[in-house]
Amino acid sequence: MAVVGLAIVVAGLLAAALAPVIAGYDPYQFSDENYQPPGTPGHALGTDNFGRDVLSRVIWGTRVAFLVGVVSAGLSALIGIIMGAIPGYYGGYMDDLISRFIDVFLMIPVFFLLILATAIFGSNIVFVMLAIGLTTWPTNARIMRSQVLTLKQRPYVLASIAAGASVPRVLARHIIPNGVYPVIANTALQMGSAIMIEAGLSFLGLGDPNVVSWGQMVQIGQRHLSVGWWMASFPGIALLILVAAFNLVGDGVNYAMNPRLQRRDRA
Amino acid sequence: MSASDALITVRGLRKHFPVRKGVVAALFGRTRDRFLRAVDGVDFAIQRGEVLGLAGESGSGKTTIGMILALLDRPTGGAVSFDGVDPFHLKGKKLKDFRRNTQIIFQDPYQTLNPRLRVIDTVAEPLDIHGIGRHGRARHEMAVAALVLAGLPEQLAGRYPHELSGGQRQRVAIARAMVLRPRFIVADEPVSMLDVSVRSGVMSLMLKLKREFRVTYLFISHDLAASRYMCDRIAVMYLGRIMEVADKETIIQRPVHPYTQVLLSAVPVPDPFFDRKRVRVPGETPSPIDLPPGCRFAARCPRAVAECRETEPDLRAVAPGHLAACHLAAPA
Amino acid sequence: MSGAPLLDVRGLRMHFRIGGGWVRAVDDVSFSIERAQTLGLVGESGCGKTSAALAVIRLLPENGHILGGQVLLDGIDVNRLLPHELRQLRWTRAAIIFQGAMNALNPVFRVGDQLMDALMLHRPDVTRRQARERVVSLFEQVGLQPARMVNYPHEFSGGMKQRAMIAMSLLLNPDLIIADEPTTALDVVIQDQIVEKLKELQLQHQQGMIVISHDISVVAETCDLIAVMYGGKIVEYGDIKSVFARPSHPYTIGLLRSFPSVRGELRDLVTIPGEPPDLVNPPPGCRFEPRCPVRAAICGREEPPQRMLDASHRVACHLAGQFGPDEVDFQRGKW
Repeated sequence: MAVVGLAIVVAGLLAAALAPVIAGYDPYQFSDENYQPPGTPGHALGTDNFGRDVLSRVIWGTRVAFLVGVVSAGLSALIGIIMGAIPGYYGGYMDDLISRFIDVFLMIPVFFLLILATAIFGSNIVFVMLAIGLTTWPTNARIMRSQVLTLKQRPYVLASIAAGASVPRVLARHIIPNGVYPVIANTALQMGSAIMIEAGLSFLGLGDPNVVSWGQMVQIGQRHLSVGWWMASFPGIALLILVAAFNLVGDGVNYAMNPRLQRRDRA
Repeated sequence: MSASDALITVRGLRKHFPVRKGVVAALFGRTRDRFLRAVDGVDFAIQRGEVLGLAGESGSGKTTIGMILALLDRPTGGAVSFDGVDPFHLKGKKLKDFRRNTQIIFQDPYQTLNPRLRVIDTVAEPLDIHGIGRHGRARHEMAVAALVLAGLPEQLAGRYPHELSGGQRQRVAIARAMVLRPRFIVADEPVSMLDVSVRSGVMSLMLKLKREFRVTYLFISHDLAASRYMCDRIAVMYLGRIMEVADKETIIQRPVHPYTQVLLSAVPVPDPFFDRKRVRVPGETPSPIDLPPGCRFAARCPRAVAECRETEPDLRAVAPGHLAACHLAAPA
Repeated sequence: MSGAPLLDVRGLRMHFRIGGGWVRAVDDVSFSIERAQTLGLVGESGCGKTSAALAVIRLLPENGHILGGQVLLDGIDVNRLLPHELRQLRWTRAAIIFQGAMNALNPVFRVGDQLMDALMLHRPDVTRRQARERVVSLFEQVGLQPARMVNYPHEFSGGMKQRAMIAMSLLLNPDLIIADEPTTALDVVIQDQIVEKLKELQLQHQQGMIVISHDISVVAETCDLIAVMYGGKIVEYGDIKSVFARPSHPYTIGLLRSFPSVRGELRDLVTIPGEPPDLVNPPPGCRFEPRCPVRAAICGREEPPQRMLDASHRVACHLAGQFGPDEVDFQRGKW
C-alpha cells in the first residue's frame, strides 16, 4: 500500500513540475465560459465562477500543495531533530526545560494559533509555511528525543566517545542517522497534515489569495455549491488523495523500519 | 612488582547512583536519599602489560569500574591515576588526546558496531577523530591493517555489520580498539555473548595482541574459567567491593575468602569424572541498596561470626601479592 | 519395566525452507534415552541441536517439515499422531523449558495464576482448588516459597523465574523434559542451584531429559549420554564418560580442547579454524571435512558411516580409530 502512496506522490510531484506544460489553461485566466459543468468540450472538469478551467487549477494547485508540504514539514523536521537530539543527549536542566516547553506547546491547538498568527501578520503563503513549520516541530522533537535517550547508551556510541569523538560527531554520525527513522515517518505524515492545515486556512479565507491552492478553490466553490458542485469537489478529492498518499508513505516508512530493527543474525 | 610498574592505580573508588524515591514516599516527605552503591570503595593497581581480571556475578560492580576506567563514567568518589595523571581532571583537547591511551571492547557484538557504517569506516573513525594519517588513503590502509591484525580478511572491509557473524563483529570491535595502539583496553565480557566455538579464537587473539603490542587489559568476566585462561591476576568482587585478589592460580587453587570459595565451587567443570564439591550458600545476592553494616557477604557466609556483622573488613595482605577482605583470613 | 527406551529416535530428518533453498537442519539423527537418563546435545550455533530436540515433538520452524525418520516416545509414534493427539502429547508427555524462558511469563498475571491456568487448560477435569494444591506442591519441589504464588513476575529474580518455568514444565508430570540452554543469563551460583534442582527432580520423577547446551561443562556434569552435533548430523554419540575419555571425532576433540576450565592443567586453547557449513548446500562427503586437520581423500567424497567404538559409543568418521586425540592438530589452520 505504501507503494501506491508513493506512486501517487510521485505523480503529484510530476504534475507540479510539469504544470505549465500539461495544464491546458492559465489558472488565473478569466473567461466568459463560467459555470461550465464537467465534460464540456475543452474543460474536462468544468469551469468555475470566473470561467477558469478547474482541471488546470487542480494541476497548478499541486505546486502549492507540495511547496507547503515539503517546506513546512521539512522545517518542522529540522527544528524537531535539533531540539530533540541536543537536549536528549545532554540531559540535565536544558532537557527538563525544553521538555516542559514542548509539553506546554503541545497543549495548544496549532490550528487556532495559526489563525491568530495569520490574523495578526497577514496571510502570505511563505509566512503560512514558516508558521506551520514553527508550530509543528514539538512532535518531532519528542520522537527524536526518545530515540536519542535509547541510542546514547548503545555500545557503538560509547566506543566512539571512548575514542575521543566530539558531541557533534557522535550526534551526526551515530545517533541521528540511527534514530531518525521515526522522524522521517512522522514527517511524511506531517506533509499531509501541513497541506490540510493550509487548505483549512484558505477555506476560512485566511489563505493567500494570490496563489492557486485547493483549499482556496474549495472555499470559493463552497459558495457556489448549488450551481457548480464541481468547483469544490474536485479540489477536495485531490486533497483527499494526496494527503492519504502521504499517510501511506509514512506508514510504509514505519513498517520498513521495524523488520530492519528486529533483524538479528546468528552468530 | 614495585608500585612504579603500575600503569593504573585506583584508590577508594566509589560510584553511587541515587535511587528515585517513589511518588508516595516523596509526597510524605520521606526525603532520606537512598543510593545504589554500585562501587563502594575499591582499591587496586594494574601493572603495565598485565591482564587483570575482574570477576564476579551481576551487581558486583565490575562493569561500572570498567566504564569508569574507560572514561565513560565519572566516579562519585576516590582517585584514579593513569601513569601519574588523573584523567578526570582533564578537559577539552587534553582529554581527547588522553583518550588515545584507553579503549574499550563491549560485550554485545550485535550492538557494538554502528549498523549504518561499513566495517572500514567504523575502524577508521578513531583515526579520523585524531587526524592520524596524512590523508584518507593512509587512514584506509591503517584501518585495513587493523582488520587483518584482528584476523579478518581484507574483503570484509566494505561490508556492513549485518553481513557479519557475531565473532567477526567482535573482531571488528577489537580492530577498532587497537587502531590507535592504546596502552590500556577495558574488555567487558568480550566473549560471553559469542558462540562457544568462537570464544577461544577471540581470547587467543587478545592474548596475542597483548604480547605483540604490550597492551594492558582489564578483563571483566563472570566466567572464571575464561578469566583463568586470560588473566595474570584476578580480583573477585561482590556487591561493589573487592573480596580477594591474587594471581590466578592462587585464587583458583588456594582461595581464602569464603565468597571466592563459593564462587569457584559453583563453576561447572567440563569433565564428567571430576567430583565437584559444592559449597552451598542460601539465598541470592541481595541488592546493593540499603546494605546492612559489616561484611557484605556476612548474611550468606557459611563461616560468619559476630565481628563480620559489625565491621566491614579491609582488603589486607594474607600473603605476598594476595589480598583478602575477610576477618577470618590471617594477615601476612 | 519393559526393555524399550523411553525415547527412541531413528533417522530423523527435518528440513526447512528459506529463500530459495532447503536448510537441512536435522539430517539423519538417531539417539535413544531411558527413563531417568539425560542426553546432552552439544554443538555450535546452527548445528541443529535445538532443531533436533524440538523436532522430537514436532515443534518445527516456519516452513519446516519432517522428511523422514521415526520418533517413538514410550512406544507412541509421534510422527503419525493427528494434530489433536499431538497437542495432548505435548506438555503431558513431553515438556520444554525454552531458552530465556524467564521472559515467557506474562508480566500482568500473578505467577501462581499462570501455572494454575496452564494446568487447568490441559486438564479441564481439574478444579481450581486441585490446581492450586498442585502448584503449591511444585513450588516446594523447585525450591520456591508457596507464599510467592501471589507475586508478579517482576517481583521474582532471574533464578526464581527459571524455577517457576521448571515448575510449569512439571505440571502434568511429563515423561520427557527438554531443557534448551537452561543455564544462560543466570549467575554462576544460581545456575548451579538450578541445575542441581533439575537433576534432583528428574531422579525423583524418573523422567528422561534432553539438555541442549553449548556449554560443555554443564553437559559434562549433568548428562549420562552425549550427542555431539555438527552441520545437522551427530558426529559422535555415547556414554558421556566414554566420549570424554576417548573423544574420537576430530570435531569433538577440537570442541573439548577449546573450553577453558577452572580445574585441571592450564593449557592452550584450540581454535577450530573456518566456518560451519552451509546447510542449504552442504559439502559432499563429511560435513566437517573442510575444517578437519586429519582429513583424507575419501572424506571429501563420501559421507562417513557410523562406527561403533564400543557398545555405547559411536562416531561418524572414516578414519575413526586411526588417530589419537593428540594427533589432531588444529593450529595448522588459519585464524
